Amino acid sequence: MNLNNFSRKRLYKRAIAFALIAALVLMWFDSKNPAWFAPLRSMSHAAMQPIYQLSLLPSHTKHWVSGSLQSKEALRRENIMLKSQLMHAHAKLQQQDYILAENARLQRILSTTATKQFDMSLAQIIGTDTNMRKQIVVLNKGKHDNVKVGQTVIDERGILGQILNVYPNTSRLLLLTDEQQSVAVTIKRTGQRAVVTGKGNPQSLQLDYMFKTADIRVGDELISSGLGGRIVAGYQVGRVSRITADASSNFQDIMVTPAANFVDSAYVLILQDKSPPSVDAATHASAATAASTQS
Amino acid sequence: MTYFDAKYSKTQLLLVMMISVVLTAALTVYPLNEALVSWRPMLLIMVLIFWRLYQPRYIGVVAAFVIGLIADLLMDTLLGQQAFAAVLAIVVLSASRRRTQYLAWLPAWLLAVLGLSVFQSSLWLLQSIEQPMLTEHPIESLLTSSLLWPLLWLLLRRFTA
Repeated sequence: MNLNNFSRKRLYKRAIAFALIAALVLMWFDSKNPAWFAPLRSMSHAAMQPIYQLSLLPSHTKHWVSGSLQSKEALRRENIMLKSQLMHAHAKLQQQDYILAENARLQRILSTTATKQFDMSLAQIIGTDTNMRKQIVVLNKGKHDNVKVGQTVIDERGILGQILNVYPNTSRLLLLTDEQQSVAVTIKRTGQRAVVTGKGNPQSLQLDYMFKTADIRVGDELISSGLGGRIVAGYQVGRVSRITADASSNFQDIMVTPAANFVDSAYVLILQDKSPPSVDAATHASAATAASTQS
Repeated sequence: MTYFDAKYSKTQLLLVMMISVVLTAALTVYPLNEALVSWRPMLLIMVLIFWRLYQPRYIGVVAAFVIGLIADLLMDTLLGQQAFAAVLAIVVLSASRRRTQYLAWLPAWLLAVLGLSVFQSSLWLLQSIEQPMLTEHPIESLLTSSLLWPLLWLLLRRFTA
């Protein structure tokens, strides 16, 4: 006869009511003042880091195994392909070098400040965040690789987002598509400034505050403008895909298809400042409150 | 209180419970790729339900609340959301089972599915109040949790008595 039963320990109605009400109160406080619980949350994120570290292991092993098992012939072919790609890239780069030099000369004539130069550090996306509603991914580079909060991350086609938290060997990247992320852009065709905001959906972004009289068309390219000093200027953000005029509002409802691949990009580039880290203090606080541009 | 037929001492049991919670917490935050992420089972709640079914002396409202809060912190949901759902799941479990005999695996499984469904639907409700968008607890997750629960039972069956 087993004595293990529920009647031995009844749940007290008072305790249940207390727990449920406490949970509701906590939820209310957290939704109104998320800053109160920020230390707790950053602590729990830091506690997760050993697990993220551990998760790097399988991909390292896979890499090692595929490296040691691939046939010589396949490697040779891949090598030839990569060499030809590199040559093409170099050819394009030559032209770009010339344009950069010309641009620097012109800027000197106009006596504007020089644009910032960046090092690109390759990182791998090792997984998505535990919360599916937030558009956050985890990267395999961290403090040891000089990653800092607020650094812009791109892929080969456009801007992905900015670094939100940094841990010794990993970091968390807040994607542009997150509802709390906005980026200042200019429309390439007209030079008009605007703000693009995420919608929590990896397939589309939204262009805010465009008057109905504004000159904008489907297909217009949007380039980051660097205003606000958070996201680096001059990279692709997206392309206008649909414009609907809402009769009840002064602004148009504009959808943007993002340039970067938010769905299945595996490798990303972190833009790291070449100059001594003086802007860090400014960018440090920014990523956490990146939402402020929105509200 | 002492129990004559208890196989394990209180400290042993509490230790095992603690280890199971820590291990499942670790698995909960293990990064998965985009395709798999919606299938991630709700491991913490599965473990909570197991212990509530088989060691109800130690697992009550407080444990449910604490485990729910841990899940909230780990998954970045609104604090208290999963705690609320976990407490509710425990209450429904206790209400639907008052008999004294030992639970075989099948009724235990059914009860676990009931608890998981209650947990899931109360979360959906809370999240739809907060924000009527997609939820971070999709139906796939409920499915995998329900299917994997017998496996958890097998792993922990030594501690059922």
